[in-house]
Amino acid sequence: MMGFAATEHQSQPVELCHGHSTHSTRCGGAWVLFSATVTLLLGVAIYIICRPACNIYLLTLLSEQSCVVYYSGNILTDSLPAFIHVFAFSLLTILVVPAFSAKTLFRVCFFWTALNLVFEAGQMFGDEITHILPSFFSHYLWIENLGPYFSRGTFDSSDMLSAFLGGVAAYYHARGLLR
Amino acid sequence: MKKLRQDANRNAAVAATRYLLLVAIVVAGLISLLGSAGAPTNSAPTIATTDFTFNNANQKSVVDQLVSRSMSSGMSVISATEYLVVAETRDASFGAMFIYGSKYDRTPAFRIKYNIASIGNNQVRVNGRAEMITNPGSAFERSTDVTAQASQQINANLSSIAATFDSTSHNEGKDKAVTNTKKHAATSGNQKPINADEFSGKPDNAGGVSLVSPAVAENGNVVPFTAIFSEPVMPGDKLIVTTDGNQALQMTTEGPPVTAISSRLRMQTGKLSVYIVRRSGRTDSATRSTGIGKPANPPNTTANKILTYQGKLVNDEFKIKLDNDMGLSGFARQINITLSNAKPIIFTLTPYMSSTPFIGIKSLDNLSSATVAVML
Repeated sequence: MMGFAATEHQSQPVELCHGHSTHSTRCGGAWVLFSATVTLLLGVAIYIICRPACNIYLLTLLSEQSCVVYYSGNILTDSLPAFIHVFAFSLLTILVVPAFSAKTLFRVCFFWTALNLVFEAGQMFGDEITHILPSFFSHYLWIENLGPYFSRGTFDSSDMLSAFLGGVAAYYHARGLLR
Repeated sequence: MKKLRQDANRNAAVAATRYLLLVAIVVAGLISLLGSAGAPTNSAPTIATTDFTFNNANQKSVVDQLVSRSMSSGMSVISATEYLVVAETRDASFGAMFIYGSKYDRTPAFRIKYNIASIGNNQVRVNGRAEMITNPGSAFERSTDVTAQASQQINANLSSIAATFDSTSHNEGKDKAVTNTKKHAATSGNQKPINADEFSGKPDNAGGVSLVSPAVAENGNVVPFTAIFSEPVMPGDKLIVTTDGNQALQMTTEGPPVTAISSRLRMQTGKLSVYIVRRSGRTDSATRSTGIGKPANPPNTTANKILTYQGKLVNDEFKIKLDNDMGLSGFARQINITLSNAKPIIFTLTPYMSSTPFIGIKSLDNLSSATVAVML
């Protein structure tokens, strides 16, 4: 997390657009929202196109899915979702935190980065984690997939790197736009 | 003053909205993180062989089976000759339309071609290929080979057809999950391989279940059967096997997807049915009649309660044998097969199972670590 530095203080919430004159109008918030939305859509597209949809929990809940993979993908499409998840959700979160500051921005990016890293690292200990999870988890939507997330997921160091880079990118992107 | 109060109220409402949005975003982030993982029941797809050789078969019967299976899976058969069967379905999924759609026709077609060749000695070789077709049915058709991606589907089709012949699969060397019918056959009650004479006639597989049982069974007390599913039985699905209209066994799984089961039942009239009630509400089924030489005796009323059992993995099939009479009292009511992820496959049995029942299962998951628990 070397790249994160809490240097600015701005205690107001982020507005999508503020200012009135043509030159001083700044729509940093809108750009942040736009960036998050576009990257999230890109992530969804990667999942639909490059992964077997029948094997993705979220997609199988929505409807019956084909198992055909339309594009086999590569290291970029394999690891990009980890980047996108951290990047997009960091940006979305910073838009709604009650008081924006560089410190808050850092905390938000750190939270999503750490969450992804912990989940990814957990896949190294899939069986152990699955054994300590309460059995009633399997009766609830979403939570039922917690065990399989760790036991079936494959730990990939490039996903870790990707998630970290997502956090750094979100921090600097949001800081640049919301300064 | 009034304006100040209005502003304060407005600010409070905005702040509350922001907190709600914050919670919603965090929840959405967690949901998408969990949701992006593989479904609890599905294994990552592997490339399976699409090249099979059927023994004791002729081209005509293989073509008939391919046409029937394609129709059962909702595909339209657009060509069927002695050497080639082509089946097609439109793929309106977002991914397919995005990659293979065109301005001219946004919806591509998913097409499977089976090339069929008689190679002598009553052997028929079938090679399946899958293609995504842009502008299907037009003069501007473009095809993209997706055989590797659709290999599981083709393999499942050919495997279930293989079950009807005394066959072995012709493996090109890259597949670890090929269904070899001889392995299935070895599980069918009498532990002897199925052959075309013993199991004559086509199995019923009209509804996603390929059901194999003997054309004639001399002893109705022990009638073996094998059921192979074109789609695995998943959590939320329920498999029911009935004999003469009475439930013999029920199976659900909380984890491993089950691709085939075999067992042996008591039969009087010889009507065997397998139903899979899918989570989506759809029901797959197959019914088959067996000629019974000597109808089964009713279950004992004073059956022993001794229960010993053993389970072991033979090739890719997990076999369980119970030493129990399956009488009206003291029968084995439930079998749990549990893998290391603590997600069991659960069988509920009734006395319509044969005495000393046997159950074999195949799964997409590795069953080598499976443990068995049986309850009276």
